[in-house]
Amino acid sequence: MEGATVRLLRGRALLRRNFPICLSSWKNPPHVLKSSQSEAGLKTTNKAQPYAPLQTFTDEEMMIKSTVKKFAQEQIAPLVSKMDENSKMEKSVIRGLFQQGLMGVEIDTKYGGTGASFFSSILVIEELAKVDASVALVCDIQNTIINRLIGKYGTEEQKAIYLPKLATEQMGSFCLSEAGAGSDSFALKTKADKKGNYYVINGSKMWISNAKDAGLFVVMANVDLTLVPEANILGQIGHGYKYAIGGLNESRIGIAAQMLGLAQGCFDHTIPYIKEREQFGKRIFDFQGLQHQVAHMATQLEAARLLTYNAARLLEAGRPFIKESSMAKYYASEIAGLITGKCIDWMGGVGYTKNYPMEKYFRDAKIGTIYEGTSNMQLNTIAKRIDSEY
Amino acid sequence: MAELRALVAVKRVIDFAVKIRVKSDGTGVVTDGVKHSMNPFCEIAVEEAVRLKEKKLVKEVIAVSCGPTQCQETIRTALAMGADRGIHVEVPAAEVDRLGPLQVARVLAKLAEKEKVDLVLLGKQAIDDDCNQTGQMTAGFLDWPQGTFASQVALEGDKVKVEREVDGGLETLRLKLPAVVTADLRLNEPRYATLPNIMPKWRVRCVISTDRGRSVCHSIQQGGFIESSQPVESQEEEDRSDQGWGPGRGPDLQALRD
Repeated sequence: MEGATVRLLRGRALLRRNFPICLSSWKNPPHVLKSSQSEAGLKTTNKAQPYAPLQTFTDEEMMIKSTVKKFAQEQIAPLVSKMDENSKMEKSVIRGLFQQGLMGVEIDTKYGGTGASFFSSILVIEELAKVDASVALVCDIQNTIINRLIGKYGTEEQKAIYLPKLATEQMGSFCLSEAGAGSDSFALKTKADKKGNYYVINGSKMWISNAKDAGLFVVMANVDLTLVPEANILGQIGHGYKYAIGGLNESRIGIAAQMLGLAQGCFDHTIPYIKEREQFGKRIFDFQGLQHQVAHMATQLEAARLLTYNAARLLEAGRPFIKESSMAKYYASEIAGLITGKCIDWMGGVGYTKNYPMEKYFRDAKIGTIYEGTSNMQLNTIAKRIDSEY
Repeated sequence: MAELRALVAVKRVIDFAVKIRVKSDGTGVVTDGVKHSMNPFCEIAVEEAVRLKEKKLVKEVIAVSCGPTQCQETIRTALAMGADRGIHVEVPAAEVDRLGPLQVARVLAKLAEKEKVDLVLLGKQAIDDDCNQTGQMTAGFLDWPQGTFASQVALEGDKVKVEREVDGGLETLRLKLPAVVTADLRLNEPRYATLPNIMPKWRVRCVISTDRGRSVCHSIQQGGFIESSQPVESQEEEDRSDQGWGPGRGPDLQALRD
């Protein structure tokens, strides 16, 4: 029935059916066979319906999600193993992110951005993370920290200068942590001394994002209070810590989305394999013990999804979201580690090898419980919120 | 010749990456809740039309889709790729099973005449039924020349040069406009809709309830208002002429979405 078209499209790598997943090297990743139900839950909303399920998207969000998914699976997926081997981000990937408008999702159209909602950037990050967590992170930092900070605290001139560049060609870098200031970011020692009408920054930062490729650096530094603001200062002097922490509360949801996408991507690669592989005369998936494990992980994944989507919607609605955002990041990053680990188990020996993507997902998941606030810090935040509620 | 106008037909089909399941009663495949997207060959056709527009050889690209309400998503994708206008020919969900190439070809032929287009572009076949008939039938109804399985399309004055991939190799035809062209795999590499293009500068602003056996056209356009909505007689019956394309019928319209 579809034989002719299938053969034709297979030559174009648009379509790979009937190709045993367990035998293919993931360096030319097969198009993962999805259950026909996997997208079933996604519906578009006509108006802002009350009581709509969390997985209700507007038409634009739906379209954005499917476009990014397509772009990620066709343009980024083939390069993932190469980038991992060389520890280098391919220029074509960065260019592609900018060209598709993925680096300025929330930026206003008048600055050359897309003008979409915060939830749209969460969806973009999730879809990218299903393919490569590092690419998702580039997109996440740009959209949820850099663009938001400048958009919120920048003057009109600053916004007019920097937002167009950030939307179209320039990667940003967020520079907060230092050797002596990680979780305790308030202890940072970098100083900014005023000399005439410019500042001289002295100090050294660690873990600044995108250092090799960034063109704009948002640096947190200590300043003397008597000094007058200068053109490149973002917001008010003395408020930087508040801005940084506030910004991180929001970008935390982006990290939750990244971990969620990562876990989902790993899961999506694993399930078709265990449905094909046979041992002891039946499919691995037919063993009840394994089914229970899969169901358990799928439930945790769904819970993480709902936490993340809800936190994003709360932020969009202007309602308090700090506790929920901490919960989302904490939960998503913890279960990402569990799920990716389990996926390697289910794959058996091949899961441990570099020929299959699970081990990359497993490695990438580890950072989730550490950056943008360690899990312990998240638990502190949540406890503080609970304290103030009772 | 920047006065040329192109009509591109797009079909909403089950996404190629989805695992097809047959319904338990054997009457067809499961389509409820299954991911659908634009037919890949239709994407190639849209891409070719948009490229012609970018080369300033074509002035306007109109995307058409026949089917249930969800076809509007497919038209939106075409708009996000660069089409200027979209027309959705609504077919009631109950009748969709009876909608085949013959019926769609009739609709396209009528639309091509009404919209006075010079070029009708389609994908060579749909990946769900593999019929490979709609383009040819449309050309037949219109009595226009056709260039099918195109792997290269070039506009030359009042002719279109089409290089076709046929069993024996490649065949080059020169068709006098207006003409019908169907796109094959190697015609081009379709672009991704960029995010800014997806964002709505427009909204769908109409729903038309249809009588049994009657389908209604409504237009989706940048700018957010409907162009016209006129009932088109059913394709199951004989091809009766419709009532013309004057300004719309007001009372039937109600906003479906904001």
